[in-house]
Amino acid sequence: MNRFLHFAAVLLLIGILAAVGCENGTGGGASPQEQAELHDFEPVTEIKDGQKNIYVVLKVMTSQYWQDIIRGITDAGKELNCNVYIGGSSGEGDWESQKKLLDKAVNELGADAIIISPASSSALIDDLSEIHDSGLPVILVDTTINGSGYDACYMTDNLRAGELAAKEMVDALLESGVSPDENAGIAIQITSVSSQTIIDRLAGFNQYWAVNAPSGWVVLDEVKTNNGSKERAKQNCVDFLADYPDIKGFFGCNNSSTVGFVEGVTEAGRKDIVLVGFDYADETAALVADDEYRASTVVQNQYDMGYDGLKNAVGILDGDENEYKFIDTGVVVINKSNYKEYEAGVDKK
Amino acid sequence: MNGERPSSVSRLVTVYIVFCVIVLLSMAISLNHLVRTSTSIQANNILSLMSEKVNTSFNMMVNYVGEAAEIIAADEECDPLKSYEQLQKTVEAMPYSGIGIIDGSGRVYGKAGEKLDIEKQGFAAHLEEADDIYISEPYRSSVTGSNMITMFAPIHQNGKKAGYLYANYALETVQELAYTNVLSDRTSVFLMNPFSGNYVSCSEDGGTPAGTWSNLRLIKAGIQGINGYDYNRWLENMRINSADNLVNYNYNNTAYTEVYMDIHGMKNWYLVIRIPLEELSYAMHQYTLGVGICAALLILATVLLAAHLYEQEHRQNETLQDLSDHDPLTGLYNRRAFDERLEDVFGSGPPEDTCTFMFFDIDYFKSVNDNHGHAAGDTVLCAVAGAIDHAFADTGLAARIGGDEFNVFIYEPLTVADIDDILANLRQKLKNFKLENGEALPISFSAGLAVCPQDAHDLKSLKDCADKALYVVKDAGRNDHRWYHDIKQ
Repeated sequence: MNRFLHFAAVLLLIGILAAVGCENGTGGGASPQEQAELHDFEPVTEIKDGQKNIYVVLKVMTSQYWQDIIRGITDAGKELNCNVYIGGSSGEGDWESQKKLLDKAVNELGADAIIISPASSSALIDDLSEIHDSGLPVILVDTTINGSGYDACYMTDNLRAGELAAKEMVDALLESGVSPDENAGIAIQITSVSSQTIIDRLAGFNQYWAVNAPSGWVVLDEVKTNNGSKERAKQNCVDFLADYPDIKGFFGCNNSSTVGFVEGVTEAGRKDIVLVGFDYADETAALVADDEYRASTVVQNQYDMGYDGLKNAVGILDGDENEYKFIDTGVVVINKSNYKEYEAGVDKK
Repeated sequence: MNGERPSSVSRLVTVYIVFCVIVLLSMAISLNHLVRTSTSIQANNILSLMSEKVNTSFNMMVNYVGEAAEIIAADEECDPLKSYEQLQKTVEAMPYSGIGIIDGSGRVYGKAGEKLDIEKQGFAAHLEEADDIYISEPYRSSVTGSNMITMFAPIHQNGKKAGYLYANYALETVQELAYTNVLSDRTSVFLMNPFSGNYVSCSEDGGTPAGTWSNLRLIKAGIQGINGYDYNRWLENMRINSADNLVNYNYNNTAYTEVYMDIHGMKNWYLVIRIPLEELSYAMHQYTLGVGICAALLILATVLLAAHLYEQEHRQNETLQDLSDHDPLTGLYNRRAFDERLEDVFGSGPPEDTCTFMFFDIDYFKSVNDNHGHAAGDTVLCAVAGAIDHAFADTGLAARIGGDEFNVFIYEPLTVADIDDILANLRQKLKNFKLENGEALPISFSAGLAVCPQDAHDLKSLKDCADKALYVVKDAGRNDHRWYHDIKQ
């Protein structure tokens, strides 16, 4: 009996503590830091004594997008007779490699100016501020930071880019014969919710849509993600078509989403669907040129980010004062009316 | 044979514990519910007060721009350049990051970046539509690189628009309007457009800078209305600017209360303030936990005290039982307890196994008392009782019936020879008895025995048989024992 009493007392205590205990619990954790290979600085212009030494730190070196930026930087470096060195990491989020490259450029190699596409908007704030405060020009390309320790940022205003995409969608739907009085669904696909660039495009699209689209044309609440997988993106397209019979338009916020929509629409033979996407992948370009479909895509001027960014760095070294801290390098909407000119223009650059 | 009756105290304690558990659990659950309800009400009230504060402050910002425009309009000279230069002197002291003028011809008196933004953001079209204050959507400033809003106030002269005064505000400025010492970094301020689903944070949040755009479509699936609120209904209310402007919801395991206010001059955009409910409920939860622990400890102490009392009572009962069952001098069973146990054995007929009953008298015990004193007599009684008890420890039950008389009930089926041996040993042992002072005091005894079922089937008859056998021994001069079946023949 005595044991029973003690046992009951302990149970009682546990029960009461459980009943009055805290109701919340939270969890979660940071993903492991991306381990990526560091690409050390390599010259991209002819190196001569007495020329300005410009060190460029990029996120990735391999994709066509980044190759365009490198071309812009290289062309400007050659024009202005600079010694230009480019390094970077092969991972989008590898800011630690960028930190090492920054340290090497400033403290070992004697950089005169830094051009960087920061892999983190927050992790490099102090490093860049320190460099900027020491008197070296710091130019950001493609991505900005959550601080003010830089001279200028050359990037796309993705909010405006999203608005332009929405305008193109409205125009294209009207051209395709969709009546402002009928119901139409617009489906959106993105890479992931963690990319601010993509979220800005999504927000810009919705902002324009809410003000300018007919009230019966509705952006679906469901936004599908593909994490950069074109296969997943294509399946998302198939699922959208199956789940929403009223769909009249697709908006892809990035390259993978757009290619997924292109393949899904083509495979289903849905020539009645209007597609607006981003970037100029081969599949996207082919659909834009196809007379049977109505596809448009928004392309950035990444070449200009590199070209103008380097010219600005040299200008600051020559004593120029910047009037602008943020420079929107703009976007171009490519559709059937202008794709030939666009391709011809790209070839010239 | 030693049955234990359930204690009334233990039953009461059990009922008490169950009652306490039920009451305390009910109390804890209802207290939690009360805390949640009370916290929600408090948070909603605090938020409503805070929203009034923010709304007033925001309107003051707007009014300042409007009043500055009126002052410029009142200047008869109305030189935009001169006014612009005057305004620039105020920038450092005021919350705006830039201020300028657009004259009637559309010429901008401001920084190059501001001119670029006014053109690029297409503000001119909005200004034409607006009769009064116009506030831009958040945009990334060419001057600072960060996100901001611009407030435009028309400069009216002679009843016509003669231009605009504009002031740029960083989004953090709006966040600062909601600052309180108590809830400092736990208050979030957003600009929200319920038609597009877009919202713009006015404070840095987890590495995301102030001015960052997002869209409800990306988070709405994770939002769950609580305390009777529905998030979608709240959004609908916002679209029609209903006075029912408050919502409670859970997102990412955190409960929030959120309220919206319309913004004069910023069409379709609302100022939204949010605080986590847990921020206010933390203290109450701590209090609830404290009360719960105290109550639990109190009950625990009561239960332990009850257990202690029960144990004490149990021991006292055992002592009383012992006193009422046993002879205080020898420790053997007394007549009453002995008879009770034997009645239990014979209650439903004779036992299955053979058993034996023995009457046992100390010979000439009176002379011991007379010659050696009562103390010596007691010593003898104790020695005899101890010897009997020891001799039949595992086989029988001994009792002191009175004076020098003892009874032994041998429940094990021992043979006559076995018992004869035991009694012989006992006789030998008592014969060599010595008092404490070393004086030899040989003790002899007389005993009569009867066997069940051979001699009798019931207890009374069995006792009678044993008694008769004893008197035969006494008549024959004592210091011996006899079996009833021997004297019967």
